Amino acid sequence: MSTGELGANSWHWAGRAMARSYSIVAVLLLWEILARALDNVLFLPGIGAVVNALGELARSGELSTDLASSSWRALCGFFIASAVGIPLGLAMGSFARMDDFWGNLISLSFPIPKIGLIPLFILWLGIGDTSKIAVIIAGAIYPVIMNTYSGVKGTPRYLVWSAQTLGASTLELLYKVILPHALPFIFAGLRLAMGIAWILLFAAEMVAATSGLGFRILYAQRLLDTPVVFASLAMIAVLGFAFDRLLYYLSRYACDWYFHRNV
Amino acid sequence: MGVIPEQAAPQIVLQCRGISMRFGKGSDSTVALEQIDLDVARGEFLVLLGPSGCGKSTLLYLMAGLLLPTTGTVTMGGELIRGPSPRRGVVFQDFALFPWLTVEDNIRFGLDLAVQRRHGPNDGGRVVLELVKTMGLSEFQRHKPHQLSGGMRQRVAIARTLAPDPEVMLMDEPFGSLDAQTRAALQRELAALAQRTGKTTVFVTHSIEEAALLASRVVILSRRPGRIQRVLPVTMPRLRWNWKTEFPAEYLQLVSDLEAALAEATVGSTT
Repeated sequence: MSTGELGANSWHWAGRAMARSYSIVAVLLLWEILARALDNVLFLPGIGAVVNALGELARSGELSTDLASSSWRALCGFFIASAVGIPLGLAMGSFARMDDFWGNLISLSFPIPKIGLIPLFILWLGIGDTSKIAVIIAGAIYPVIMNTYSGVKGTPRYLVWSAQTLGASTLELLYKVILPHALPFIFAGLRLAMGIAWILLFAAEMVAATSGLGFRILYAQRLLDTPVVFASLAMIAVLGFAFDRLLYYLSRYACDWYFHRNV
Repeated sequence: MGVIPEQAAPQIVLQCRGISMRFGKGSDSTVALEQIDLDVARGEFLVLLGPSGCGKSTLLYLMAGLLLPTTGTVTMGGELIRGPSPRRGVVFQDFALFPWLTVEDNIRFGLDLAVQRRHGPNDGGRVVLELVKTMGLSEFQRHKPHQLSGGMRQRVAIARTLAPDPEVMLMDEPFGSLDAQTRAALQRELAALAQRTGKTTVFVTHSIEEAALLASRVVILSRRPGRIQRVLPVTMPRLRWNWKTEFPAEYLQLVSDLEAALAEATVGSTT
């Protein structure tokens, strides 16, 4: 199946995009019908009220501040988690000693709820951005390490042997064969990490922050401003969606051999 | 690793002495090879022929240095083989191309590593271009392996192995997964290539016809544990059949000799 060939057939592509939007339209429609039936803005605001709230946030400048500070924290955490997680996963997959050292530590620390670390990080790192970014790193690094590790371990023996008989040293083997082979798996890990980054960000912002979408949700709830809660949640979904799609298309571009292989 | 000067090069390139190979430990272990003594001479086309599971691929990997023998030694020019080296190129049955690299970059892979190491003059581009032409890959230079047929992939794999100019080419049933027509075409090309370049080649196959077409010497291995059952030198010229006329009588005689020897090898170890 090579239905994913972008640009091969633009009509086909447009058809797929349409087919993929039906479910979203259906949910929005159901929401609007329910909101009109209940007729209670505090309990379930309709689409119009939420759009108005969003416009209000945009005019006051709160929206851009919230978006900027939330994106900064999420992306910072995501990039640091990737920059540490990818090399660590590569090293663990390639060298038994690294696996021996880190393997159990990672299995032990993975199930610790990272939201539960927020009070500790605030205690140690203060109430600013550092503690929020630290929480994101602590959560997002695991899927990066684990997926990179799996990608390395899955490298076919014959590819390694080919490189070795062509004269590759251990280091050359690592970055010319093992890393490119693991890349599709690394991207899968990065997409998971991106999602986790946003989830943890809002948890951190709801505990201690003066800006950000998470802070806005909690603040609006205290003021019984339900449309703003919905508007902020919608922004989270749209941002998360945009970054996930970005990573997805980046992976399609960087790993065309993986997505197009048919043997 | 020292490089032996051309003049002083011994006639024997690879030497296997008292090799046995055991996989696994204790009661679960299997003996793949036993008591193998074998020399590979410079310029010969040695075919390792035997029933499946006789350990002929294992022997090839021992020569490559990808596996190390349980007992015995494999030496190249008097030097003990302890691991893989670009002096011994390998072509695998399933091509083992790097799927993320283009045809050209696959072929360049070993060559670029060699150029980096020796800091020598970089005429790699010319070598790659020549190989691309002789292997009939000109149209596919920018393609990736998944866009090629099996025969084309194996052509790329052979070019990739030849590019850094190894002293020995080790081939593990390279045409085993190809259809009959593609296989015949590649056999013809390989015979011509080996004759033209005089490259020392060790070729593993279970096909009698393939052995008879290509070999300058055939080594027949017995069923597991693999031992050398017979060694048959071949006196026919390298290009023994032009693929147009009928098979020459000598070729047909060789095929029946090999059939008889292989039958003996298969029966011999079961009784």
